[in-house]
Amino acid sequence: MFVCPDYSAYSDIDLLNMIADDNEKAFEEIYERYWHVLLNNANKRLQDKSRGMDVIQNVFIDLWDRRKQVKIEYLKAYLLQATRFQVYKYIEKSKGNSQFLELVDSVLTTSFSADSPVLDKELYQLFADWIQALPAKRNKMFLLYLNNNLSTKLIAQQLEIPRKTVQNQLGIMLKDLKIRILNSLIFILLLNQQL
Amino acid sequence: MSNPFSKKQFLDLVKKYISGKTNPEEEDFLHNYYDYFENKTDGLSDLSKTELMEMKDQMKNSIWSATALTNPVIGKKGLVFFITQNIKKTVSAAAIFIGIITVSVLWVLSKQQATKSDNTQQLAKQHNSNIKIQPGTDKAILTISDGRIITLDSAGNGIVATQSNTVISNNNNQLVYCNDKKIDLNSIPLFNTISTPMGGQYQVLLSDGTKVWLNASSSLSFPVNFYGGERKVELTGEAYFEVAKNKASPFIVKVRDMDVKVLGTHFNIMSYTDEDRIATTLLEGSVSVSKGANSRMMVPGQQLRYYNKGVVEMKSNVDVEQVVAWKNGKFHFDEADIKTIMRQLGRWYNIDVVYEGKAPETLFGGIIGKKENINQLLKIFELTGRVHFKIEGTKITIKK
Repeated sequence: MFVCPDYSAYSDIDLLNMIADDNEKAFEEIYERYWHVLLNNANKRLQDKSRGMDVIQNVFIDLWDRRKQVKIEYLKAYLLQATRFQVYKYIEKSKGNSQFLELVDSVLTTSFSADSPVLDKELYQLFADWIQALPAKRNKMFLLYLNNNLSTKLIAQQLEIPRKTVQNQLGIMLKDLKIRILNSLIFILLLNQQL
Repeated sequence: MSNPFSKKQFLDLVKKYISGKTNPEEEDFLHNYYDYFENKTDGLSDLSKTELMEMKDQMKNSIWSATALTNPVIGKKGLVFFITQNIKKTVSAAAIFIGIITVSVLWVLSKQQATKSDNTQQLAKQHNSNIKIQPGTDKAILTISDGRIITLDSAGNGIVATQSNTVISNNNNQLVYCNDKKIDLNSIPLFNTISTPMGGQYQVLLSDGTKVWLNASSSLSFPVNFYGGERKVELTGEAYFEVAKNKASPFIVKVRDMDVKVLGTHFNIMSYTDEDRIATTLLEGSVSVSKGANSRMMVPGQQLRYYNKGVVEMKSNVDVEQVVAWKNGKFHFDEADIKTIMRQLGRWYNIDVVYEGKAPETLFGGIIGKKENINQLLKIFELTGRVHFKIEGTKITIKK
């Protein structure tokens, strides 16, 4: 005698196919499976129960709204990514009024002065690699800026290109460098955290 | 170095991220930044279980009302479920079970005994060269009320679709309808149709627990969910039913202008349009069959025949094993003429049958497996010496 399986017996993929067919019961099962892990994930960042709940609600509402279009391979990974996105969306909306930004203030801005030989070495290496990887013209431009501390006007004269171009390119390079440094900083912080 | 990165710059980056304009490095940064908090406490662990469950239900309510979904039954889960269960219990307690003993009939090969000869082997060799004709297999086509058409066979296992929260899955050679017992009684019933081609057969487990075996070249239309009142399905061709008992909700099979009404029982209906009758055979329980103003009750072992010419005949003590042999993987003939036999074979082997001259009048009887090679099968008939076959492609010509 065949017994109909309980919804908890269905795989994530099955449930996703079912919600694409408007199966509310399958959606409920997805909620049952993941609400806690997602709330947990959001709350680690927001440290605020009601804000965390808002974020998770949006994750699920969004999943239901896009159930017919979205192609999901791993539901848990998808939901965690969606939570991260909704947390950032919340941060943006609340104009940074959150504990989540503490790290920007306390860690990222001060780490540069931290007496960490590991950090210095890592950052120096990153910097050296980055300069080396620049195309010849940009490499030259950046070294003139860095070593000789020339103004953009003088660099433009020396390289015989418009000053605007120098300004633009240096701007792009500095921005790129900054994000790379931040990235490795975070990375190093993550590593240190795990030790 | 002074403050290389401010809150404002971070928020600008987040803004970029939300609108999907960040480059991979910037994205990496925000992802890493997010990951940095992975080992922080979440402030949830010091909550009591009750508080946590309240949060869960509160979120659920907001999600469900925002998406305009049917309100989940929070805190009262399974209420509807219990009510239906109680009804079911009462019903099954009151239902009557009548078991019958079926007697298998032994295989009698015509009136003549066949003897093995060289002739046989030659015949087999000749027929074996023909591989165009194959026995039927488990296959069918499902048409869902939203227009989707799904091919079913024993290979395509898994969930086929869901409708009105009822999960339709293909389970080997059986199509299964599972509902969540929380169906909305006011919903409009959705109808699905399963059809077998020539050379196909399939099984369906309906959402009320009724099991249906569908023979070749047949179709069954049925509601995805049964909403109380009558359980109505419509059949063409042949099917065997094991109806789940529910006294409160009679099960009705509509065949052309005939209705077979049951409360829970086992029966077979044969209504192929190329046969001269509709035959309803009862194996267990009781059914009432009505056609026009006429209505008849049947008891197990009876077969009610409505002939196309208008004659009605009730036969008692029929060999029910023979009637449902098809669902048990067998052909079972009992004093059947060659035309009757060939119609059955035709539906299963998907062959065209042609008669050269007058068809033989000999009556045949016997049991043959449905997986049998057509050549072996025809050979058995030829051994009687009363009939001969010629096979060309999928066409079979019958001679005296």
